[in-house]
Amino acid sequence: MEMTGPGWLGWLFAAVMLGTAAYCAGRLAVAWRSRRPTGYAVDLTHILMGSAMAGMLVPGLGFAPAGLWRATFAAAGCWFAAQAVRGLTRGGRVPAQGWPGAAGHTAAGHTSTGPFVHLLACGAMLVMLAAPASGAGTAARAAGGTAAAGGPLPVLAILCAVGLLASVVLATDRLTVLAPVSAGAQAPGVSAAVPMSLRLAACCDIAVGVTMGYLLILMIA
Amino acid sequence: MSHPALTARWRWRPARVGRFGAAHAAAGSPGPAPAGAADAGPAEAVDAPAGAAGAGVAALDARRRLQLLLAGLWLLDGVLQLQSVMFTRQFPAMLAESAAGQPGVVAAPVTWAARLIAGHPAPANAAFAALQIALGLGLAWRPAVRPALAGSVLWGLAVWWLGEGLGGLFTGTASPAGGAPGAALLYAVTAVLLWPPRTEVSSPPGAWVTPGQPVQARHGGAGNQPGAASRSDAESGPGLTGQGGAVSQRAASRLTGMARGRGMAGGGRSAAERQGRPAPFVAGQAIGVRAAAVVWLVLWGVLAALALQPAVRAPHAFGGLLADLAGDAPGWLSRADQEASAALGGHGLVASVLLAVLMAAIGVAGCRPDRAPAAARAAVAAAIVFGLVTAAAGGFGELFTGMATDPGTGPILALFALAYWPSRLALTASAGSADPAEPADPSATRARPGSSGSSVTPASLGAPGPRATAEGAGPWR
Repeated sequence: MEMTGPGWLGWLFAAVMLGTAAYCAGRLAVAWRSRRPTGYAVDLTHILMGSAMAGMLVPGLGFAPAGLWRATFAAAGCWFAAQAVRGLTRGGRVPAQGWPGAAGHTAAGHTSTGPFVHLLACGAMLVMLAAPASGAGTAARAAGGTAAAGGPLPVLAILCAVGLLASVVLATDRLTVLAPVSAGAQAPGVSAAVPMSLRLAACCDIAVGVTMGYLLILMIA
Repeated sequence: MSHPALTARWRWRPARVGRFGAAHAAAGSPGPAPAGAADAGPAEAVDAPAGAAGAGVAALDARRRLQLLLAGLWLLDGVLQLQSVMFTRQFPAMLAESAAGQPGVVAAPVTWAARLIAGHPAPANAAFAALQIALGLGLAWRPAVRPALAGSVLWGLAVWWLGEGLGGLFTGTASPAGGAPGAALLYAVTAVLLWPPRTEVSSPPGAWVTPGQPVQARHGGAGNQPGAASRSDAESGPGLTGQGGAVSQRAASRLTGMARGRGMAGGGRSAAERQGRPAPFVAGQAIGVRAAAVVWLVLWGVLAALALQPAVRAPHAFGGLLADLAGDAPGWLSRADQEASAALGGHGLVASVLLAVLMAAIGVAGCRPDRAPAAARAAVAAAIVFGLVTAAAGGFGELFTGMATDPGTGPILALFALAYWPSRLALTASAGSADPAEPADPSATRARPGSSGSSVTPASLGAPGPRATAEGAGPWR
């Protein structure tokens, strides 16, 4: 799909998304080569979302059909939903990393912002991919109505945007307590490998959240 | 914006954010988080001593939550400012509309600003959006809270004056149901009410406190500069009650000093504040109980007066307003607006008088949360419902039209009201501090196993009991 908006702004956000995707790809590569702990699923999701959103922001950057993206994010959403259900059924509640924006890390050093916020992000991607090519709002206004008359998608888009921006706020709030972890800080018995940067992982969450919020708001414009 | 947290289900509790716990305990300490740590939030883990310090800790958590809600609103505003139409000349034209019907002294600056923006709409709008997003992220990022709050005040007042034409207060048609006195003014006022005191002992995320040990908060508290909390905590001596506690006596005295109004406005101290009892609500701690009461009374008094203006109380004015709002709302809300408009018909006078009575009642009932907490809770709840209903009636600031710059006055009015919610923990602790020899709650001085100090425990307040851990906060860098 294609979003409307100032061209330069689209390029700006697309650059941020491609940078985020490239960084997450680098994280995965480094983590795999040096066996350092990281959130593999989250980093992979960021790569996919960054690439997909870059294509939405700048049509020339799109390289995959919308149907493929839909299937991808539906599958990712199912995976995160399963993680959320598993966390809920195991301990009665989803632990720390399950809270939106609580970009924490487990004892093993894995970074994760939790299944709920990523489930929401996958849902938001599906909402965006379900929108007509020119945006629901534009089509609705062309017919003489408001974006709200264009169906449930604008309402869903706003709800998703509010949720994602809330997760951005919470992730930013947590930045100051995400400390760099050195090899010496690892407890005995825990892998000596230094986890990948937690703060930068949280920054990726923030960048993806803001960009996704922007794209969702564009759906009503 | 209809923030999920601003609903009737909002429960004002001492920071039940335990889901953060494990991650941040782990962030600053080697090894896995202790079992159960995730179940106890930072504030619950703070074994706060009775009295002022306990009250302050709880209220600081409340302030931080409200700051985050304000951050969310600014962030949403910033993203809304990035809508395509805002980069065109329609945006300054929309601003210029607010000059209509205004006296010259108000209209001239509005027109000037609109003309200025019309010259370079895209760069100007990009700057506005970037500023608002920066305010949102700044409020969320703890080291930048104070500059972000100051920026919120300045930017809110500028937008209220130059963008909203002082909320239309001088047009004679501004109605509480239509968004008066203007969202931007409430952003500025709320930012003042959420201003952190100079020194505060807070329970920042990950600050796990062991009884008898200094607070290990190496980062700033809610809105503190980094290290501010640690300076006071590093000087910890005996606890407040002399039996050892999580918060030092000096820190506690600073808290009470803060509560006496050493925040932004030193005046407006009540007798209770002079006696060292902390204000049991966020707004009172920022500017003093009396000053906060004045702000509350002025706001709701102005809203009551606006509801009784001739143009607002005209027979068909209220119904007409709802009919106008219907055009900006999505279908299901639009139908509700139209039905309400039809039901009101020509009974605008009755509706206006009832609205004015409601505004006045909220103002009177909610102005002193420290003296009449039950009435204040009812008033705050009514204010929140009023804000959300009016926001929904107006389609959340025309959010669905693609022309919204903010979600309207309702959400920020609800946030403003939440700053007056009396904290139960603070009230309990305040009552305890009124007579140190007579604790308000027997359990407040019950020493827990392994604890040498007396404390207000969440268990005494009906919350799940904390697990004292030796996990410190992650190093703040």
